[in-house]
Amino acid sequence: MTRKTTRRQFIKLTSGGIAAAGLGSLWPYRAYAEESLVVVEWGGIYVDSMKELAAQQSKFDITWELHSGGAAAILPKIKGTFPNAPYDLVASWSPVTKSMLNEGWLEPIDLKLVPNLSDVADLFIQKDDQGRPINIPRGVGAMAWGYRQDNCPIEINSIDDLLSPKLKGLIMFPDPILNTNVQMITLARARGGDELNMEPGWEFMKELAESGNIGRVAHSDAEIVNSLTSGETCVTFSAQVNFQQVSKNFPVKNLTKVPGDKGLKTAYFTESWVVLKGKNAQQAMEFANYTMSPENNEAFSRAIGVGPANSKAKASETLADVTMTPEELEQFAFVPDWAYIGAEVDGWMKRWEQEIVPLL
Amino acid sequence: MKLSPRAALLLLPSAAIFLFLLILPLANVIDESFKLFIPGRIGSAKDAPYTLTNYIELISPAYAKFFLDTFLLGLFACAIALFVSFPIAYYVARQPVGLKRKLAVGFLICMMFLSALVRVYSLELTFGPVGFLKQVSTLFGLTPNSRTYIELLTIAGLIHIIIPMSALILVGTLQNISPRLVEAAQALGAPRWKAHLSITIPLSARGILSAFLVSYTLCISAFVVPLILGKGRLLFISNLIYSRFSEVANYPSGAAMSMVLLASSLLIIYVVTRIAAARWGTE
Repeated sequence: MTRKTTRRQFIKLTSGGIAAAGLGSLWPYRAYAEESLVVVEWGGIYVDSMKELAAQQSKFDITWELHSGGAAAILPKIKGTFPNAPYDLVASWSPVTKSMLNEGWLEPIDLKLVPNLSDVADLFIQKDDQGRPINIPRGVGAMAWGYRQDNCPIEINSIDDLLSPKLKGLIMFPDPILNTNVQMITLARARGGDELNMEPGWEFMKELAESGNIGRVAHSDAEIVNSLTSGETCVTFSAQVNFQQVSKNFPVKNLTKVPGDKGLKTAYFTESWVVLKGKNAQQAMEFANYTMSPENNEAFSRAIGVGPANSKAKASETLADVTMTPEELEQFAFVPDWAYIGAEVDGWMKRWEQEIVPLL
Repeated sequence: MKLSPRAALLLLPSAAIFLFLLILPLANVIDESFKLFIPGRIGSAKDAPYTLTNYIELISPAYAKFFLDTFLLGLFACAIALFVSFPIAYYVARQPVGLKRKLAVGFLICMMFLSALVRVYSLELTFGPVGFLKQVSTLFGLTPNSRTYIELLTIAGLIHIIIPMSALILVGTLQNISPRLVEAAQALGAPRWKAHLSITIPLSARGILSAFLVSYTLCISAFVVPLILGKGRLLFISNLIYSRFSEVANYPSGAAMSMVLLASSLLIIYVVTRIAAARWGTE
């Protein structure tokens, strides 16, 4: 005997099923983990590595939100909702952390909840007016000039080589927002200036723009990796993590230790967790502490290609180009005044639009 | 037409949505545009004083150039798109109802669903500096890295987006024009081109104006197309606004720029509409 299902029976059955599924979704899924947190992280290898760490614990159920570009892009979203921002823990870096501190959004870090912070060098920890730590440094990254050797018509040995006519359209120059304009600070240093005296840098920048060597202006790290990988451009200034991505398929030369050149210097930055004020601040600190244990910090920093902030964690061997002895640090590296340049970016961006873009 | 209380009641939900989602946020942006921004902060402070600085900053040749690029490239793209989409729409509208017509309309609708990102990257990967058809630039006497070639690619990106929409708008207009009018003109001795220019074009003027206004609005507010195909060297005002709001958190400056773009756009649309009304009696 065959049983026929009428159209009405089918509709009843399916609508009942859909309703049951809908009601089911209202059931509090938080019951599976002790606590729920919303964590903002960069995409790609950053969030993948952090998800791997999060999967190894069961105390916190994490909802991941991705930064849409630079860390500063999260600021308007927090501004619009604070003090009820839907985020608990945010991956940030030096200048953006300073902006959040200025707004009064950050919860000072409690060392009882984040004991692993005591293994981080004090140099990397940002503090509020009362001297309380407001970030949990995860890694120490380096930014420098570098190029794809197989696609670059010349060997670059000095920053003035960027003006070579052979590099027509082959330079990827990040706009002043990306890297907080450290790339132009290197140009300024090449001509005797620094972040406090940027005029020489602007003059160099104008020469570079007029040379026709800038093929693309980058707004994001993804653009840098895509452009170098596709062969559209071959030279850029970027965080080492991007050069590492490109070097998986192409030979890349990092210009991190070039003797005798004032411009080809390596800039160091710290990328950290920051905890937003709110009802989950304590839990956010606990989760951040979990990610900062020596073994977890080592695994994460190894995956993303930065030096671990926890002094008990070992640095990856692949970071040889940016790992420096104290003497090398003196010779090849500098740490920009992040608090100062963070406040200057708005003015630099306007100047870029008015003086440089028309020349490109 | 007098509005009855019942009709007014029915309009209430849409009026409320209009007020809460458009008027109030817009008023907020206007207010923000007059506030003083302190670098290093995120947006303006609650008690920030009012100022005209954000507008005064825009009075510079560089920003005039950004506005000019936005409006002129948008205009070129619209003109080319209308020129291309009119014959497509005419062909579709004159097809008898059947499979061929359904397929043509279906194709245009499918094109509307194609993501803007897919469109621009397809152009970039085909005609860009590493594209297999990059040599097209030499036909124009340009190099793939030249500013003019970047502008041409950006126009191509805009056209890619607005052609299907313009064609669909024009199909609606053209199918309401009786083909017998053209046939009558030809029977009276008018050549085909003259019958077309003196009958079809004037009668479809309203549709052409609609297609132009919708396309132009999309072009001057385009963000993704200039962002990717402009390679950071060609910036539209929407790119500058995004940068102010999302990257340097200078909301007052971004708000001022948005208001100037809005006012300029409204002015252009008003002028175009008045000219069209005077020429073809469209309202």
